[in-house]
Amino acid sequence: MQQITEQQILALAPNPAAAANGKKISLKGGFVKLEASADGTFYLGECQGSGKSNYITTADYIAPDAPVFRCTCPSRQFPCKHSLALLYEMLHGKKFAACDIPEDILKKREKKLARAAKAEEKENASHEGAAAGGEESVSGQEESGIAAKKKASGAGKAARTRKWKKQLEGLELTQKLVRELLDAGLGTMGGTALKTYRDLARQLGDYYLPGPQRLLNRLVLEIEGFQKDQREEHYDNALDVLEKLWTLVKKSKTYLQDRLDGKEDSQASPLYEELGGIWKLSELIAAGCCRSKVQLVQLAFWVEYDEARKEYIDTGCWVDPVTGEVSLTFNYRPLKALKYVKQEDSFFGTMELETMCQYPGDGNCRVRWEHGIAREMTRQDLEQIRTLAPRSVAAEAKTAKNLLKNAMEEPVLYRLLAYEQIGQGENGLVLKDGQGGTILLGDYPGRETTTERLKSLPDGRLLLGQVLLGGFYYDRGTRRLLFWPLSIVTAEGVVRLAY
Amino acid sequence: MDISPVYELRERLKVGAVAGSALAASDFRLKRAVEAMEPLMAVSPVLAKLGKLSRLVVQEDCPDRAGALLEAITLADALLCTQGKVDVAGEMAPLLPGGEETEGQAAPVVNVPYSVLAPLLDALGNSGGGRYSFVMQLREENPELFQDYRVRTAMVRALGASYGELAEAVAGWLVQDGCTQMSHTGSITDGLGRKAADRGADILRLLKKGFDPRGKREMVRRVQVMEGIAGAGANAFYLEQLPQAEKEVRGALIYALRHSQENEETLLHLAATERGNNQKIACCALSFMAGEKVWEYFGMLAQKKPAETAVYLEQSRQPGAETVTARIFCDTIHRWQEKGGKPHKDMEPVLEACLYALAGKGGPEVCECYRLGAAVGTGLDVPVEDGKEGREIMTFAAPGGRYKGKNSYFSKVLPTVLQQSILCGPEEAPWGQGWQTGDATDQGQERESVSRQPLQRDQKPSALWGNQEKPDWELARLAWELYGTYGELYFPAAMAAALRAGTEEKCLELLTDFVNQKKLIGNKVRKDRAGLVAQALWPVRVSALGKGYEVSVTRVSSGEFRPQTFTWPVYTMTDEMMELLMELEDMSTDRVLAAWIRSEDRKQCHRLAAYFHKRALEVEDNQMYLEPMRRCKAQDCSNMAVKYFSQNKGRIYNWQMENYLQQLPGSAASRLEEGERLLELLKTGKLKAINGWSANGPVEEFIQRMQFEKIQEEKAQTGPDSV
Repeated sequence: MQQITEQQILALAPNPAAAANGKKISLKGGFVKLEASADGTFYLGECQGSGKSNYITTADYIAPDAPVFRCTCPSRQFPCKHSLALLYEMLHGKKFAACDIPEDILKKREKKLARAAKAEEKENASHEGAAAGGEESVSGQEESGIAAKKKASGAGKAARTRKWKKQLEGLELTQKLVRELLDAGLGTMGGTALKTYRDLARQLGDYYLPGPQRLLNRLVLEIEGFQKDQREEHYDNALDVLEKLWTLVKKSKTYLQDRLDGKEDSQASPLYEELGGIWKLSELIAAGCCRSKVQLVQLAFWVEYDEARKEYIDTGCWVDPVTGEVSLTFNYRPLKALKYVKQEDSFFGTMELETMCQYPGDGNCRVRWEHGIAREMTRQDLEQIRTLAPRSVAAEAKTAKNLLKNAMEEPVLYRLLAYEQIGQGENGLVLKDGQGGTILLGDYPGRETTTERLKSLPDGRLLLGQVLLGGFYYDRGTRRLLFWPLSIVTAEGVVRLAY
Repeated sequence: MDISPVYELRERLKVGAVAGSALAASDFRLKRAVEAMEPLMAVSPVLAKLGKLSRLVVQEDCPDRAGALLEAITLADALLCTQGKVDVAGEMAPLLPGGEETEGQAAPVVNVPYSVLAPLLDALGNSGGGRYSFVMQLREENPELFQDYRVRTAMVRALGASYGELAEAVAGWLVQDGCTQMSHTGSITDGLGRKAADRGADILRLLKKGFDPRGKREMVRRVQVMEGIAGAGANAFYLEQLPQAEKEVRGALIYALRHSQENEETLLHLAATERGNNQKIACCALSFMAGEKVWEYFGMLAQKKPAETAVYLEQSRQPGAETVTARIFCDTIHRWQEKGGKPHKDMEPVLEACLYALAGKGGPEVCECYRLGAAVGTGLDVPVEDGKEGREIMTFAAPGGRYKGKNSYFSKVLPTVLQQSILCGPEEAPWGQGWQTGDATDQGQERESVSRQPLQRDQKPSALWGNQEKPDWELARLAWELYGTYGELYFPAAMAAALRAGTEEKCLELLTDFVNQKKLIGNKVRKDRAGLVAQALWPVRVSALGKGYEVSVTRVSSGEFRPQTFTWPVYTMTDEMMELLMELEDMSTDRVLAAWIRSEDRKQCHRLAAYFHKRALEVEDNQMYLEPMRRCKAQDCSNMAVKYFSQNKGRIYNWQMENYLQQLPGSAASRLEEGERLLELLKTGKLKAINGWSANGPVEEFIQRMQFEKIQEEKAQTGPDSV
């Protein structure tokens, strides 16, 4: 029997409602027949439907990390609630009678294999063609193919060069814009001036600079915020944006110029994404930004709306139980395409990844993967995470400061910290490590207020001798480095303070 | 190293950025800040660089002042970040009780995903349409989500929700969760014997946190939830908050004192010193005390204010309360009997209060009340001495009865009170094979012949203020006695006794005898007696746990106390009883049958579907059969709509047609046929729409929908090719 976890089911479901409906069907005993093949790759269920007759639903696990679901119900969702219900039946260890794999399923498997083989052949042929560009003895067909590729790569390089030049132009424009803005003063950005800056931000899209465009949008939003509530922190935030924009422009100019001059560094640069580029997984793999056979445990999850990007961002905070490294996953859902992009959700197990791509950068790297196998989190995973957690507040704070001081870096650095106690100090909640080092806990502005939740925990022992995942950030008001608590890792499980 | 000049410089640079770099050059404060950096420049290269950059900003011939300003402020921010303080001075106090103190008390940690948790927290924390039903549905489908500590915190805040129904529901859940929590942790197993102080410790902590004795409804609910979970265990808290408490919160705290006998003196004092509603509350709380002084007090009060006293004693199950209530009741009746003649109108409030107070009480004195009242018979169902136009008769509301409002005579209400008393309390069975422990199971399953044990109730603690003390079993014997002596009016009470403690055979025997005796089947049917059968069996319904049957009774209070719902499993129901009720062919018993539908029992559903269809074609207004037939998954609905709309000379409203068709049970094919029949009648003019509205529209739409559904059904039957 295929090992199924609830995590896997939730990950496969097109939305949480489908999973909930599937669970309901399973709990109410909706299946009148359950069958499985002897090799554990094929599962069939006959489920009572709302109509007179029953629905037949199947799950084909010939590729364990990419199961195929089929159902006779009229729903267009895949997997539908009946398929998910079948998975719940498997999860709950229900009895499946033995059956042979139906002929039509076997035929479909063959067709799929044939298609995959054909696609691989095609890809190999195109790789070989590109590599064999300079060789002499080739067939006529291959010759024209290679010529086409040469022509294409030549055209591609020209396009890239045009793009870089355009981007450089855009960066010059941005720099000029920032200078003019500072000459006039942030205080002058009101009314029609804001409209002008919004239009200018829009124009940056023509220069292939969505990254600086977003920063400019954020700047406009901060000024608008100040106009609404007159709070000084908007100007501080606006300055943070300008600092980042200025630094980005300076570094990007050098980066792009180097590329134009052919001094391309083989290593992938974080500036690519900062400028608005979107990495493909294959590109990251080609650049060597990947690791294989990785395990990740998600410790925290949250969703926020970025007005400047007009996108929802589902953020997962993960830890590698082997290295203790904290990474982030981001799922961007543009407002205009909310219907089409699946929202991610909290994940409570461990992901086992054959290949994990890591975006270039310092601090908490963004990671991404195509396929993974979800399994239950074990005590061993937790033990490893706890063992690897740093024990010194002072040391971690020093590392955090060195990273956070960079204008280009994210304002929060996520880390694990082993603590002896979390308690109430004079000015707020305090975390104390085993060496007597202390740090104040605080809520990062604009995110979940997790410090309050510490006071509502069901068990006081959670505040003694555990490991805390949190984010270091610098608070201008208190002139302190604070720690935003996210999750407590115990020997038995993870207690999430956010989601 | 004192880096305050850097902070000042940063501030001035910020002002410069806001005002404009052109103006920054002439800002003397900025210049001063730059000058203040001089001593620091020698300390480190970074500070030196910062100093140089900021000097550039104020330099008159600076070529790129804006750039310099931005560079300077970026560097200043970076520097200040690295200089940010980390260590925290001073002592640290524990946030929560830890270590052994929390052993066995902690609620389990529940992993709730964002997609569920975020909307739930939002629904509990904010107001707006749809939130109530969302929360209720989630509670029904996934009650374990509400164990999450984040949800618990939101639930405590939701006690102050503007939508009262949500707040009340949440309060009930908190009590339920708090009371059953110990069984999850496993450290204390007996749901009745556990120490109050240990239950729901984390919920109690949340309730006490931020408690405002001068608050409003939210704080009142907090107290009520606290006493529901901890009872006397939180006595210290009630006493601590009382001096500062005001108005409703004060009343709630006073009422909470009833849990501990130690509060007798305090309550006596409060009963004497409080005013208005809080004084009444103090007296009600006092009725839970056992001391002699208390009962002397109530004895004297009963002489002066019998009706009020009976109200105070309503909730109490103290022996003293039973005695005093019985005395008030009997004295009132005796006084009237001695005087002779018509009853006086003044008797009504006293008797009404007594009837409410008697519900749930037992003991020999209470039994005597019932005997006395039964002997009076219809003696009080006559016009009162000083009534309006000489025709006014005393009427009473049956506490927890099916019908609300004061519309029953004394002779009818008293037996209802007895029925309720028997239904509203757990007690040992004097006969039968004892109770099966654990969850309710299907009927017919063999029970262990165990020695008499108290019924396990922890699977359905649905009472928010459930009083778990046992009333006297004598009431059940009394019910049999009175039924034997006075006949049919006491049949519901006798049936209640049989349901609680009888066997399947006894229940069936009692029901069959009554039905046969009263000749309810056949030509000479007395519909009012069928009503008595309905009254006897209406508390029985299919178990909410999905298996077997249960009795669910709500005891309504006369005053401001919350209704109490008592629910317990019934093992004495049989299919023959269902058949008997079907033979009665009465709408009141049909309603009872509708509550007995077990969706997973195909045979029963099939049987009931056929019966309800038959009845729907017999009665005039067959709307009440629509929903039960849907639950039975009835396939055939032929002529139901035709029958319904043919009354009232075939004149119908547009909306009536829409509503009815929406609820029509049956397969798509059957509903389609019915729709076509209706359309035919509309076209031929046998059915007409009122007020000129066309009823054809809804029917045609309905037919279209049914045609589509029929196709879907057929498709599902044959199945598409790709499987």
